[in-house]
Amino acid sequence: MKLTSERKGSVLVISFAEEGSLEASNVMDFRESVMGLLKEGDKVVLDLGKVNFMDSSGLGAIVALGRSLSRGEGELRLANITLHVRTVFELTRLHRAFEIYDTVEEAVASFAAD
Amino acid sequence: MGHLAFWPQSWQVALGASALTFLVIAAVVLLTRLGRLRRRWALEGKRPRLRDWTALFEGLPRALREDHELHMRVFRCLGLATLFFGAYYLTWRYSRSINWDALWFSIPLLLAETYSFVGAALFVFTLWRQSWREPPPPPENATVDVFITCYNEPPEVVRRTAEAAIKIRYPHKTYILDDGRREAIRRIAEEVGCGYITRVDNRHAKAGNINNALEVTNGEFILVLDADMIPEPDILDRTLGYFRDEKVAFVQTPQRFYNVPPGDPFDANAPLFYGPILRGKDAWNAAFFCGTNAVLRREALIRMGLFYYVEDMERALKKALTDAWAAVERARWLMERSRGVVELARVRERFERARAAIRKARRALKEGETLSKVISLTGEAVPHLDSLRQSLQRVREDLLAMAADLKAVAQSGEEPGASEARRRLEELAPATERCEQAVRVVQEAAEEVRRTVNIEVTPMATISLTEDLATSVRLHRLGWKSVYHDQVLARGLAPEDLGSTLKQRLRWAQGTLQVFLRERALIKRGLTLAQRLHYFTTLYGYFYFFAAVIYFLWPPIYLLTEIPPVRAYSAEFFWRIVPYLAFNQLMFEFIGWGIPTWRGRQYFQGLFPVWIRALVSVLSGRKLTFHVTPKTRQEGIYLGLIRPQLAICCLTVLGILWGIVKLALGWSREFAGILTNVFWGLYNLLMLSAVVRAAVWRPKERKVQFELEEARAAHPR
Repeated sequence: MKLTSERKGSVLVISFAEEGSLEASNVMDFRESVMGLLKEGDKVVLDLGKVNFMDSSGLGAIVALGRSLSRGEGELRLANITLHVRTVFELTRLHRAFEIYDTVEEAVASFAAD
Repeated sequence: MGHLAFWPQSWQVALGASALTFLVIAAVVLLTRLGRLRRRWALEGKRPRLRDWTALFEGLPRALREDHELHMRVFRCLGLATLFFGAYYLTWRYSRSINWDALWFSIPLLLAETYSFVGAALFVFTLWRQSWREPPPPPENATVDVFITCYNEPPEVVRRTAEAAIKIRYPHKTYILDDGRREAIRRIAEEVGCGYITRVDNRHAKAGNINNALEVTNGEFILVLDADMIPEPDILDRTLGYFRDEKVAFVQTPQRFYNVPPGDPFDANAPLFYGPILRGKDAWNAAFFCGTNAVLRREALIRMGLFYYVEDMERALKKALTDAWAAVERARWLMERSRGVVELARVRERFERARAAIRKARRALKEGETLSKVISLTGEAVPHLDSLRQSLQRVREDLLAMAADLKAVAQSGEEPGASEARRRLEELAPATERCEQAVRVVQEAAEEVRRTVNIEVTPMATISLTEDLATSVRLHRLGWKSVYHDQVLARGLAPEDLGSTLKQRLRWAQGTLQVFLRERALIKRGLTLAQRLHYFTTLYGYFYFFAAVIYFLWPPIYLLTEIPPVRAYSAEFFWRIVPYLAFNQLMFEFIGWGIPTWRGRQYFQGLFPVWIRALVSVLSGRKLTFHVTPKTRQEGIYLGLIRPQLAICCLTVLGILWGIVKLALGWSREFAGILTNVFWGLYNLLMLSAVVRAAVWRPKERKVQFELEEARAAHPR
């Protein structure tokens, strides 16, 4: 899976290179790619704008990513969520687990505000 | 009520209602068969002659067992009769028969009888409707992972299971999940040609093992097999079809054991459970996952794990923060008591910082901030707790150093310094002890908080020792469906000695009680009324020990003291109790027709000390550990494990002998009472005999392979 990353100040923004899904069949791929980009303690914004489908394995991967970041000093915030993915988050009540922002800029700014 | 002219006498009720029941049963049987026969004749276009009608009675016993509809109807008649006579007996017991002179004896017995009656009602409810299913054809192109969980089972056992798993016909991938991290098992996986998955620790035992494997595999469906459970090649073909219904989360199949000797001395096969009971639960969508021989839908597991992630996490955070707050307060109180002895200024500052950090996290949790925020705030409290602990440790070291100095002065014997030093030493000792306690308390709190912050998402619920039951409750609460497919599709090894059997039963009991008592599964939202009732029935069974103890003690107490628990062993008593017990027995015999259920009932009563231990351990809240049930034979005689049962046996024999002696020598005239209780004493001895026999039972050496072939031949599918 192709991911792109960009540092904005102290925040790492990770986005998907192309439109697609995050599901059981490619979730291990996603996890490996993400881990390659991260340093421990990173503050990360995950841009989900290009993810148009997500199943619970995909959600699980995002939760696991958040957990592994917060084990250090880091944190995961989400941005740019499509309607479908938001519904999936709400079905599992996981919207209560993450800070979700409408745009990447807002998410980056929120780290600065802390 | 005798003054009403038309009110029937108890003997009239007993005989009349019994006769009526049998008439109704006969009518039900004939009408059901008549319906079948006429449909068949209609299909064949046959006009029946007089002698054709004998077909009504042909193969009747077999039809009663195997014609499901007929079987259930007759069972319902017997069940209703049992409940009618039970209610008739109990109303009389409550209104007329209590022996007020011996309340300590008569009240517990009455409660036990009430408990049994409610239990009988729940049993009738459980079996009222049963499902016999035929699976739809399996979907094409489904992806399936087969998980073989193992820990310390002999490598040969694991190899046989892995080899059989590879041979399952439906396309799949096989993995051995080795929590023992053994080189021998890794080699077996390589040789057999299946995957091998391990993890760094063994957290949450079997459930954790499966969770870990879920993360590194991606099949839509997962077949879970214990290390010794040898699957049939068609296990997936027979179960995957049910998943065509998108709401089905898991399909459970029975557990059978191929090393069980004739008579099944340890009731390993539990045919009453893996049969009528699970079929009954299945009819109400309340069958549960039993840990092995089941296929699960990954999506359901993961979604459940995620759904409960927030709930579990919030609860765990709340608990950790509350505990940490209490710990800090307690540590502060301990330190403040040493105010005059120790310099507290610096410690106080640390206390304030730790308190502030915890307070902040608690407020965030209370105000409904997102979980990630609360987690990070909670995480921030950890360094504060650590530095508090460090500064408390420094105080402690100072105190110890001071104590050493004072000791030197005291021992020097130079007055007046020495006696002053002794006085201060006495002051110092409790302060040091309190300080040590404070260090410990703060350290434990810091560890709990750290652990909580690191909780993982766990698809397989890890709250209790029987991860399977907890998982079922959670899936049902989220509206998923379950299926029990009543066909043996995998066979394994049962424990072969009483010690291991008792350990296993204890773990099941503890796990069940834990799910209900700690999780409050019965009162939470999401379950249907029928599901609640089915789960309640399972829980209810584990409280049987209370009735069992009373039933076991009652005959010897009566025989030795002649204090009757009922007012009199009169004709009235017998006319009410005999039909009740007879129909109860008949109902069980009917259900057990063709399947050996007797052993299960013996164990249910005979293992009362195990149920008591389970309840005590769960209520006391001590941490329970998961013991893997040994699947290899542990030689020995286990009479030491059943001391309470042996004591009751001795007491009962003593009572029976004494009763007979009294009657024979004419020392007592309570013929009816003594004979009744001799009968009950003998019945109890029969009940307990299974456990005693199991304790001294020794297996014969036999080749396992041979046993498996034999088991397959004996029960063709």
